[in-house]
Amino acid sequence: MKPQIQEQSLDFFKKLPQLGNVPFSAQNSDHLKNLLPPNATEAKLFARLRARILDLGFPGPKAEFFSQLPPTLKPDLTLWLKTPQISSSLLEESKQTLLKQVKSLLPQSVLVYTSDQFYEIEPLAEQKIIEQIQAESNVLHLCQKLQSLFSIHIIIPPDTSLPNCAINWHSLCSFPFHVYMWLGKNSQTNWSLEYHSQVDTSRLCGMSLWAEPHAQVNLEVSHLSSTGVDWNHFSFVLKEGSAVTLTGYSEGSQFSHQSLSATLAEPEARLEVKWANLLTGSHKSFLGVHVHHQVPHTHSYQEFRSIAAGQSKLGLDLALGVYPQAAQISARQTIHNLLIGEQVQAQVKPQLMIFSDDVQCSHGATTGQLDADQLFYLESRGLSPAEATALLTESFLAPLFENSSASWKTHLQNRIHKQLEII
Amino acid sequence: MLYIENLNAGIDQPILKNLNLKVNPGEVHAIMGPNGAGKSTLSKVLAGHPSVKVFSGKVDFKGEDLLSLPPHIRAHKGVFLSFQYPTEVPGVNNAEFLRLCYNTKQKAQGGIELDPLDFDELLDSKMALLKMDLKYKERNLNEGFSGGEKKRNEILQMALLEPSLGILDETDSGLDIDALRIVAQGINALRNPERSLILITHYQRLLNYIEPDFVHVLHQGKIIHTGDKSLALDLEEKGYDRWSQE
Repeated sequence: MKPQIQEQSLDFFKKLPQLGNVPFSAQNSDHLKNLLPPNATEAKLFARLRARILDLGFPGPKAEFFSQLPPTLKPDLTLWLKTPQISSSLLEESKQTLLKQVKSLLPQSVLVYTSDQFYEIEPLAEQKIIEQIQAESNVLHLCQKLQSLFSIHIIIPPDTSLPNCAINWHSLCSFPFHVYMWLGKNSQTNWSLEYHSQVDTSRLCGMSLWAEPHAQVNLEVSHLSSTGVDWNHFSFVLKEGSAVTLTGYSEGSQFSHQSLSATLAEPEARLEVKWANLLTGSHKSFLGVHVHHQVPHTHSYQEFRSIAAGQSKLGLDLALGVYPQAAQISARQTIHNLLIGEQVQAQVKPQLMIFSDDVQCSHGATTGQLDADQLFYLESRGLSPAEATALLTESFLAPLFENSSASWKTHLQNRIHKQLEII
Repeated sequence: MLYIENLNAGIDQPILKNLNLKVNPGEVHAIMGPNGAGKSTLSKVLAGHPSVKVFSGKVDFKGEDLLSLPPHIRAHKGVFLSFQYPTEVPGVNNAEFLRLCYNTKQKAQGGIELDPLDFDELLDSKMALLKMDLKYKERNLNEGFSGGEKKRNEILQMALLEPSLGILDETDSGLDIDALRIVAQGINALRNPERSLILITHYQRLLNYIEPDFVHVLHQGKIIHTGDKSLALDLEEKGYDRWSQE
């Protein structure tokens, strides 16, 4: 099946450069809405790639694959994205390499698949990318520029339902990657976001999400292991009656820094975060979460479960802020850490900062080792110590994924098994 | 099948003191005794609990030195302990756990491993034997089970794993009259000339349903008296005081 280009979508994408590098903030919401085409509710979804992020031999599904699927199995949207192999430790070296790689990428195209059409996205001009890279003299700034270059803007129009979407991001280089997602009023969607990293250099990726009134989104995010430095940031803004569920799984890396800043900006906004960390070897992981209850009648639930083995180090800094005017909110924060081995370290810092009366807030944290009685019970039934340990660690994480999709559960089980083999 | 010779074992110091016991294939031995006599310590030694230290003595199981084997290998060889207090394991599905145990043992013994569908049929038949509600397949392992359901689940595991030696540590505790009868029927259904059972109990009532070949009195870490099932009736009537005074 040859990819088709839909006229109306191309018109839409041509408008998007108006966005430029618009920073993510509440003030930009209207600007984004104005970019929606008149028939947005029928279009279901429009995505934009502002740079060439290409599939270089990655065995992801192609058009033919989707065309063979029965309609019930076709995803609403799946983006298979992979960067080229680029090593960049020094600025000049990385700039030269980047230039070379970008040039080799440009002739290729990216397909965005929806239930109805394939969309081929027009690339940015090659010269523009080259100019941006050449003009930069600072590594951090270069990363920031690349992050804005390598980003996806996803707009879910109002009253739209997209239950089955995914992004697979395979990073073989240090290109930063960011997803901007705007959820229109009363929209409903589920997204699986998978970030693979296989480089010794740094990785910067994240997501900025905006939930308009009564929008609902379920995000399943996995950060898979890397030998380099990971820097991931999520930023959420929730408006009236919206609900965001984030279920995450991270395998850590040589150094992993993950952060989430969520603002419950209007009444009846509801946030649920369930996050699992599985650290092995000499991984170091830091997770910082700040949830802001800015107004009354907002609700948040956070549960974090971490397994640390080997010589890994884990840090959790979880802050919950209830603003002075935010009465009658409910918030719960739960942390469970399982330490395997004598040389692991975990530092947990739960914080409740409450500046309002008449609120329901609670938190709890536990840190411990595998239960010796449970281990013996399983071994007495014929499981080896390694099998028993694997089963118990898997069961430790299981409560986080009870309500997750079957495919996500299977995916995670496979990943966890793989990681437990290392333990 | 099982030959225990001069066994001294305990946590910090011997609780079992020069204990001797011989169990032949197909025999059912009941071990009774007052609190603190060492009954549960004996069951833990045989299953390989890491908290119990063996100071001296030998345990021979089907010609092998049982004490040299780790717990999971003992299970593969045919030793099964039904726990007095079965451990709850949240997050582990009961049916999946049972299939994992079954297939692990089959693999170790060169048997045929079952896929989920075939195992489900086998599991249903064993649960019917114990009149267990099929909803317990979908529950997490022992989590939130009543005392009686935990004990039934233990016997269900024994029925699936088909051990050569079953050690039932106070299986009757926590069971109401009907549950006791059903569990006992299940245990009796598992009796055969190749399978031996050690029943550890405080009360004679279990032995009304499961007729033992021998009843032993364990007192202060030693078997001080052995008889037939009439000994259990005698103990029920007169208690253990006579030995405490000796």
